Amino acid sequence: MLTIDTRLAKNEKIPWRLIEEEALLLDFEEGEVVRLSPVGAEIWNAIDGTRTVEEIVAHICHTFEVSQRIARRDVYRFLKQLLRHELVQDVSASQCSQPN
Amino acid sequence: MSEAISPSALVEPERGLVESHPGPPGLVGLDPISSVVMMEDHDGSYYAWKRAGISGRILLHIDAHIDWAWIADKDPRALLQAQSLSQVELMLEERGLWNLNQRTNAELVHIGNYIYPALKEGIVKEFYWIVPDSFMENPTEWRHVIRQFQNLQRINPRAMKGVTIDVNRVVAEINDTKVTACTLSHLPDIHEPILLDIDTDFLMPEPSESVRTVDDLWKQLPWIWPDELVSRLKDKGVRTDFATIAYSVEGGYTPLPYKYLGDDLALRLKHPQLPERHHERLAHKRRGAYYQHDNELDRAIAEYEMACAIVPEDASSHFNLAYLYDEKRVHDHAAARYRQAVQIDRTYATAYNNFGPVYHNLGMIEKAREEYQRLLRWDPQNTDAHYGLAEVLAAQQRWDEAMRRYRTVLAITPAHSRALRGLGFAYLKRKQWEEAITQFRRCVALKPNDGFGHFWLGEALLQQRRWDEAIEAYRTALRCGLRITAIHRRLGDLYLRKRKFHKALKQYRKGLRVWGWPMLFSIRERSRTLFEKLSRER
Repeated sequence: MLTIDTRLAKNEKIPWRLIEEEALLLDFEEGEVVRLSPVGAEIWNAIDGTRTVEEIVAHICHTFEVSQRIARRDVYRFLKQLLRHELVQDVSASQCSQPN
Repeated sequence: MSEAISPSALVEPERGLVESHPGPPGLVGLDPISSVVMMEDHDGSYYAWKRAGISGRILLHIDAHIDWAWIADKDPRALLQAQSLSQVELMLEERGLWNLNQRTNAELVHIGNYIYPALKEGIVKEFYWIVPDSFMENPTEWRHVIRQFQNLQRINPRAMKGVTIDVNRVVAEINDTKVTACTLSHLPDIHEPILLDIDTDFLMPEPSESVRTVDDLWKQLPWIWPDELVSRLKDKGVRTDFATIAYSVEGGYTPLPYKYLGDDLALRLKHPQLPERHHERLAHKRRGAYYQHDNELDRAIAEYEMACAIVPEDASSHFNLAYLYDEKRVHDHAAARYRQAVQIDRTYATAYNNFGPVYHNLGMIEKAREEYQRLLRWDPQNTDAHYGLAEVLAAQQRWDEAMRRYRTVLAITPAHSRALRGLGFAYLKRKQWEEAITQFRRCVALKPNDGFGHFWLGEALLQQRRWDEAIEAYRTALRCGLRITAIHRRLGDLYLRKRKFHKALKQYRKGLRVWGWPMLFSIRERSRTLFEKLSRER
């Protein structure tokens, strides 16, 4: 379940690179090359295991100068897809359980 | 005076594994060729060339099969090094060439494509595929040759720019390497020593052709004999310093009774002046083959017996005698000769030591059954024959009998993974899902890369509504390299059930790409439903 507090991390098994504002991902599990649009690439780049979903939404809002409502809708939709394809993973639980 | 040496001593089979280096080049059929490497599977040639340090040579590939296909060996990480998106797009045009499943080189190279890495690595600078004469005489077969080139071009148009077809040749260029398909008669003069690469199956007609001309595949004849081939190579002035010869019995390409033609070829390359006793032995064998073809069994027996008298350790003569005595219903003699052949050469115990698998592939089920029964007369504990019979019974949907026969196989060889899979399939057909699952699980435990084992396991699990396990089984089947529409369709259905709509859509799309026409409309229907569902969700 994706919430505003969810923290996502990139799947470490996926090699990737930004090329001309797009992101190119190699999904060996599925045997596919995945191309992300400039907005997708920006979201992908922002996923670092520490930012929450809400922070990513804010980042997109700021970068692309779009309303909070539209940014939230698009970011959620996109992140869900990344999760479904196992390109990212939810690391909120592991971060919560880490000792201080 | 004849030399007292065995044929194997003369040929020195090296099986494509032993170190061998090119000797001085010689004219085929006139000068002795010192480096002749023998192997069962033809991809051994590639490894033999590599070990010998060969590079920049013209290859004369004499074979009924091209043995060249593109290999998905490009490291996809190179895509990440692209300087621009247009470069990425250009690179992705070579769709089938990226090794996105991360297979190792050993997994990628096989008998059907080993010439490609030889071209790519510069071992071969020019490639002639010498096809059997019948390929040019028969318009259907010639069209098939042309189609193979066109298909190769379609897959990789950047590397293979043009295909030129004329009356006698098909010529293509891959990167800077010229590839020509023609018969030996149309081979142009070559003025340098070539790499000679011969498949024994070149000498034999295709089984589908043979069954039209003889009532029993044991009676088929080669369309060209080794001495005739060597003589034609000599007439063409072919010079070589390194020859590779594949038997290609496994898989049913060269009939085992004619495996010796590979040795015969090697003998003639290494010793153009055959020692008298081998000359006599081979002459007896050839006469034996003709008598066998003409159903003159006693004469055939006499010829093969004479061949055995000259060289008692000639496994193929004993093997042919086993068949002939069997036909004469002298079963104890037949069994004894079969045992003798196997004792001399263990490879005669192969699953392809009878025509059962070939007949089965051709849909001649009764002939296949007769073949397996013949083998059981010679060797009652022969696992392959019992397994073949089980497969015949399964093809006839006689499930109870098939199951009994699979169990016989497993009683002799408990770790027979294909028998476990067959047994599982029979249970599946009888709707005994749990038993089927047990057998499939045993099968894939023994052979983890058995794609069909995983697929059928998925089918049984699906019937038991064990969705997650079924998904895992289907995905493993895909990872094993099994590409059939049904897997994508099943995965699509399962993801749909689990409301993972995007994953389902992806599988249906992949299913469409596999192009299984019978499944196409059903997939299209499912995709449409899914699109509608997704639209409603929005």
